[in-house]
Amino acid sequence: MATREAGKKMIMLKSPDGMEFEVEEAVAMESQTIRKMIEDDCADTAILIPNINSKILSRVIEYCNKHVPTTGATGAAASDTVAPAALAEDLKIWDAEFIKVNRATRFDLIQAASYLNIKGLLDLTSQTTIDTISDNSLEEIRSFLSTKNDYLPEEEQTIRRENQWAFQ
Amino acid sequence: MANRVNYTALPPRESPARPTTLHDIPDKLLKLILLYLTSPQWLVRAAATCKQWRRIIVDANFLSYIGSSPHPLSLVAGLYHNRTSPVDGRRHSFVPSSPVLAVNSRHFSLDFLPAGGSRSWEIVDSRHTLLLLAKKKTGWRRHTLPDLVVCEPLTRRYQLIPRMEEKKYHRCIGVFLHGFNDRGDTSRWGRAIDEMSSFRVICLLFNEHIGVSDNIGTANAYAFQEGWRGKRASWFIVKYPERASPEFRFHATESLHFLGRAQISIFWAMQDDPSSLLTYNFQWKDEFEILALPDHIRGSALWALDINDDNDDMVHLACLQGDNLRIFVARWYDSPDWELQKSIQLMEATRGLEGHKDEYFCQSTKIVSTSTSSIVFSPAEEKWLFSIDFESMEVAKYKYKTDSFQTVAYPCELPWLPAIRACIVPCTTTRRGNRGCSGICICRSL
Repeated sequence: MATREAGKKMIMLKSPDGMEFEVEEAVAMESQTIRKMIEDDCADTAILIPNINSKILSRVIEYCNKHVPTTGATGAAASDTVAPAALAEDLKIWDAEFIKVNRATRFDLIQAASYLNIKGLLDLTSQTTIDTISDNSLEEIRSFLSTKNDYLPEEEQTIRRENQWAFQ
Repeated sequence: MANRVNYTALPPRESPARPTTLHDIPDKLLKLILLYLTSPQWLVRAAATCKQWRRIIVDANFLSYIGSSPHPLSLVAGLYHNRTSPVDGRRHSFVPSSPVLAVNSRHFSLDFLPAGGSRSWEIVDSRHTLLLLAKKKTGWRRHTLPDLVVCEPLTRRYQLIPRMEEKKYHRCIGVFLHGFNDRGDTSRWGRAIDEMSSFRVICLLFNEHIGVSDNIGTANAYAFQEGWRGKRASWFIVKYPERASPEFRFHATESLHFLGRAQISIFWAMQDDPSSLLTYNFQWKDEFEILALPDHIRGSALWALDINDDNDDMVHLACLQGDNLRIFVARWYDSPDWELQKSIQLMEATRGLEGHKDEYFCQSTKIVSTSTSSIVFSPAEEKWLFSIDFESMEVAKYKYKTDSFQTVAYPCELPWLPAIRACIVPCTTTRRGNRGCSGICICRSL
């Protein structure tokens, strides 16, 4: 239920599996999709987030909480005294910790970030996925990302032969 | 209290029986992820991972998004140099520009070249992933039209350029590589363009006036192009004499001193006329022109710089007088207004560098090589080299050894976008007939 607490407007987010999350409006507005709903005045009480289960939604909210500018719910006390550069560094470490999730969760997070249009989270999750491509062999990429190799052996050989430089 | 839900509830996704994998992610979203690939070899690897990814990567829409993204400099894999006095018999050296690109230098070997291997060829120009090489000639033929080959070192492909028989004894002012496509351009069908099938070789020949003493003549440009206007690859004259701009004449080819190539034009100093430059522009005009030099530029050592700038129209000229380096810029290649952009006293600026000695600067400092991002200087007969970065004007010790005096560095880039031609059977679906798909083949198996 939308209430006012210490001058902060609260927004209720609902996942399709029935869980409800009460978050500050500023936190919810990290998502451009929700921001648009709020600005269009169609979100005065509760917003149903389709297709994102409660487990993922709670992680997304966790991310938004941390990344909401200036006075986040957590770590707000420190932010007054710490220099912006150190704060950014701190956030980076937090992100790195945050993204240490299994593959399936990461793909769910990508979908959620894309649907809710949270650029930072999409950057983080996509970049982490892409990083596995940069440092590994084809077989490793396939196994990390659990993609199926559907090339014929001759086809793959041809690609490798013609682009040897990209495969070392 | 019941919450009022005013957003139409979509039916919740059936909870998946198995964990989400990349295959569950729709193409549209996967495209977003793959757009984070910023290096050509990652794009190739991604396309080689599975067909779904390849389908996304070859899509015109994807290519148009990603096409403009990299900074040109980030694609320069390294610089080729010709060696004038080879110690170990190799004619070319390759200096990798950045360890970040992580492409093994052995992929830049030129040992696949035909007719005598790499030893008989000399690099004369480069563009994107391609090199133009000319066959070494000796004696009086040194200045005549050489045999030419265009190659792509990374994919070890080459194309011999047929001779212009009727012009083979003509004096050659210069040979250059040019293309119509910019980095990341796609064909009109939205496919990645194979550089090897879209280049143009431009050859500038001296045309001696018959019956006039003193070797006076003018110049013509000839171009060789793959399948020009649907015809077979052939040489053709670019500019007809009767349409030529105001006639200019000069004394033979020896009186021209090559100053370098900027993005769109080539510059020479003329012995006959130190107050002007000769320029040939092949982007718009395809013709020679004489540029008057302002007084403050005249009389010093000049270099035209090929600065990788987003703005093709800018022309940079480095001007070295004693140890004073000035970089001038003109908005247009034919602009008479050269603005001073940067200036630096080399002796002062390099004082903090290891091995610096003031007396090195007693003699005139020389430019050893120029590249798209920096100039390498030698103040003391090759003993001690340093470079200057155009962007930051920071000096640094040049760490690569040079066996000989190198004059020009030829940048070689990684292909952008990727050109994977994984067709096992020749594809018949392309509009180019039997040549197979250019770019990543999508004619099969989609």
